[in-house]
Amino acid sequence: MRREDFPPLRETELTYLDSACMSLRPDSVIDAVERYYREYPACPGRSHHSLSEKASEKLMESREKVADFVGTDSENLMLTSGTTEGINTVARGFDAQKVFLSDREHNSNLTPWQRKNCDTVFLETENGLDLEVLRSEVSEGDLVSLVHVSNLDGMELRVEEAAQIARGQGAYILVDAAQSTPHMPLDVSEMPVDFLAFSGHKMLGPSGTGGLYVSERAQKKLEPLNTGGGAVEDTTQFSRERRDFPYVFEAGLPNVAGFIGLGEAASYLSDIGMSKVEEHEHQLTEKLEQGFSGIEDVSYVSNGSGVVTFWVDGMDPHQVALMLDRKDIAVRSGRHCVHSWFDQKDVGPGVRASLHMYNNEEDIGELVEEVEKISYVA
Amino acid sequence: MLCLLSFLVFGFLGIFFSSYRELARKSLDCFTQRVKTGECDADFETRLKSTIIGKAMDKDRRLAAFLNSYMDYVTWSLVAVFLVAGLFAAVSVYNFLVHGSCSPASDAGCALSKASDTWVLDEIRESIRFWMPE
Repeated sequence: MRREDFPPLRETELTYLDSACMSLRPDSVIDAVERYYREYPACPGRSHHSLSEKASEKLMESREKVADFVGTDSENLMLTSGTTEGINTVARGFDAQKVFLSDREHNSNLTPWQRKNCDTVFLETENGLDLEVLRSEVSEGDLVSLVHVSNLDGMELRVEEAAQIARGQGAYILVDAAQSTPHMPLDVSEMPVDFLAFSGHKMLGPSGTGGLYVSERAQKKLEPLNTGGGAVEDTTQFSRERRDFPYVFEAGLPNVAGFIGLGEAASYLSDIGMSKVEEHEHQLTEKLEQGFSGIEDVSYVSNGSGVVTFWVDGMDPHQVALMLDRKDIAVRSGRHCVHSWFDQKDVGPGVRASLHMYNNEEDIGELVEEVEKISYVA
Repeated sequence: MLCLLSFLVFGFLGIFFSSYRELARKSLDCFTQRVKTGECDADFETRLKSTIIGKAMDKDRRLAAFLNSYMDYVTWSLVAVFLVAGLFAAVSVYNFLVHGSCSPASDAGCALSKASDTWVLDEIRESIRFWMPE
C-alpha cells in the first residue's frame, strides 16, 4: 500500500517491521516539515508579519486536521510531544486518589502513577480485560487509565465498556491510544472517554509530536503541567490571566514544524482510509501468525492487530534481532517497555514484529523465511 | 570468552589495519569488564555472535547450528591455540636473538637462522635489537 511514498522502502531493500516503536514517514510529511523551515520559519501566533501569519495559519490547519483525525474539535485537543507527555500531564494535573490500570501497561502509563503515589488497582487481561473488578471497585473521582491496543501483542482492550462503567460511577477515563490511533479508525465523539493520548511518530508523523484529547468536563479539573508564554492572555507582576484550553496547556513556542508534519500525516492516513489500513494490517498479521505457526521452535503472542511478539527456542532475542538485521529486516527485541508484564508472567524478553500500512506480503514472507532459518540454527 | 578471542584477533589485525582498531578497543573494554567484574558486555558479545553465526548460516546451516551450540567451546579452543602459537613464536624469537636460530637444536628446520644468512634476516635482527631495551 503506497510503499513508494516512503524513502527508506523506495531506496533500499529494507523490510521495516518496527512500526510499533516508530513508523516511517512518507514524502509528503517530510516535505511539509522542510517547507516550514525553508519558506516560513517564523513564530506562529505572536507576530504580524506575513511569515508568522503563514506559520499560524498552517499550524491551525494542522491542529484541525489532527483533531478531525481522532474525531474531535481542535478546542478539545492539546498538542503534546507524544503519548508520554499526554499521560504525564494528566498524572500531574488531575486529582485522582485511585487509578485503575491493566496488567499490560506501557511504562508511560505505569510510572507516572507510581510517582503520583496514588492507590492503583490492576485489571487482569489474560482472558480479556477484567471488567468485574472495575465494576465492583470504581467510585466517584477515580481514574481508569488503560492502554487501548497493547504494544506487546496487539490485544485491543474493551475501553468503551470500561469507560461506560467508569462514567456510570462518576469516575474519569484515560485511553493510551499510542498503538490504536495509527492503525484503526478512532472517533472520540463516539467514545465516552475523558482523555485520549497519542503519538505522532507512530502515525507517520515527526518525532516529538502527539496529542491529548480532553473532554469538556475533564478540562475543568485538569491543571497544566507548564505555564509561560502562549499560555496566558495577560499578566501583571503579580497575576496572570489564563487562556482557554488547549492553549493554557501549551506554554512556550510549539514544535511548529513537527505539528505541521503531524497534520500532513493525519491527512495522508485519512486519504487512504483508516478502515483500509486496519483491514490490510489484519490480513498481514494473519499471514504472519500462519507462518510462525508452521515453525516448530517458534512461539508467539498475537491478537491480530499488527503486533506479534515471538521467541525462538534456544536463542537470545537480541541475537535473533541482530541476525535479522543482517538481512535488512528491522524488528525490536527486549521487553518493549512493558517490563511489568514480563515480570509478572516470568517470561524472558522477546522479539517484536510490528506492521503498518506500508508493509506487504513479501515483508511477511521474508521475515518468516529468515526466522525459520534462525530456528534451525538455534 | 568471545571477548578475549576477539581482543586477540582484532588486536593483532589492528596492528596492520586501522579499521579493526575500534573493534579491538571494544573487545578490550569487554575483556577488561570481564576480568574486573566477571560479567560480559552482553551487547558486544551478542553482536559478535550474531555476526559470526549469521555469516556461517549463509554458508552452511549445520555449521551455524554447531557454532551456536558450541560457541564457548570453540572460542576457548581458539584462544588456547592462539596462546600456544604465541608462546611458540615468542620462544622462537628469543632463540633467534640469543642463538641466531629460532630452533638451535635443529637449525635446518628453521627459516630464521644464521644458515639462511640473508640480508633480510640481518635487517630483521637489527630492527628487533634496535627496539629492545639495553
